Amino acid sequence: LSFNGDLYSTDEGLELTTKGQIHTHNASSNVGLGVSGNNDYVLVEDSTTATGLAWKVNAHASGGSQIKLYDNTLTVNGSGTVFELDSSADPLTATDYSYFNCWLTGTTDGTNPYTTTLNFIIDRSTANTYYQNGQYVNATGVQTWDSSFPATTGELADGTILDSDNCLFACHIVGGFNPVQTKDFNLFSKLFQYSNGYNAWKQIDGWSVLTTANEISYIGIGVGTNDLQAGSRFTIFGNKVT
Amino acid sequence: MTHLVDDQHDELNDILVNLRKKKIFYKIKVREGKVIYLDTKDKDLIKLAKKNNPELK
Repeated sequence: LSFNGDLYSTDEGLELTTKGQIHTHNASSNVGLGVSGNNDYVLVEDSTTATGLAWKVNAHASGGSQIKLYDNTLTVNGSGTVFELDSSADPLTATDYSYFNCWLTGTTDGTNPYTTTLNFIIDRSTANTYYQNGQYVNATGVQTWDSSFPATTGELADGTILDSDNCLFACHIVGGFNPVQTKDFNLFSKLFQYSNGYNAWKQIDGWSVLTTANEISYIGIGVGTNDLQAGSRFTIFGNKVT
Repeated sequence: MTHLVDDQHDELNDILVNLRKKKIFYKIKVREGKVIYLDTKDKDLIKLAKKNNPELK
């Protein structure tokens, strides 16, 4: 046995000389596939070409995407603004984002009677310009409808629902921009407090609360009076349109 | 076939719409048709709420 030191019996197709060119095969020989010359094109399978490959527009790029913007879990009990996404260095704009999906799970902490309120805070605004409308339904189906105009906070639930210590709840909030009212931020929230069976539905118009038109820098969750327990968690996903 | 339509006037809604137009504050809670909480300075709304629920303090 002997070895001549040549691992390659042929160097056909291996000598790529053009920027971006990649090495492939056309079923009979090695070939170089050049780039298309179009930025942001992606390489896809294409059975109609000799190599079975082609550079094309990314078919998934125009559908937008959802990205994680915030995820935090309390390590100690807290009150006040317990969660806050701070995007002031790079504000989230209506050009980039249509709306945001938020998920909040928590446990109340405090002394009965528990009188806390749970609030969605837009751009750290304390303006008395939230218009809200919603309903609470208790475990036996009794409905309480409430409305306030304007309201001092974006109230997701009050002490009617978060009515005692160790209440467990889950809350889904969807909020987004309004291209017509450029400083408004609108919310829908649904909260289920499964310790006492109450649920709350809210529609909130943060009326002219954005500091700058068509962009938001801060998204926060606030609790009044009593605490949320360690382990409570808030996540925000942004739905990008670009 | 008979068609029946409830065309009762919603007086509370009319008042609230008017308050929003005038940008006048109110906070109201209604349970099973009964006003159980009201915070406003609007006389029409106070009058309606007391008529709806005489037990309001």
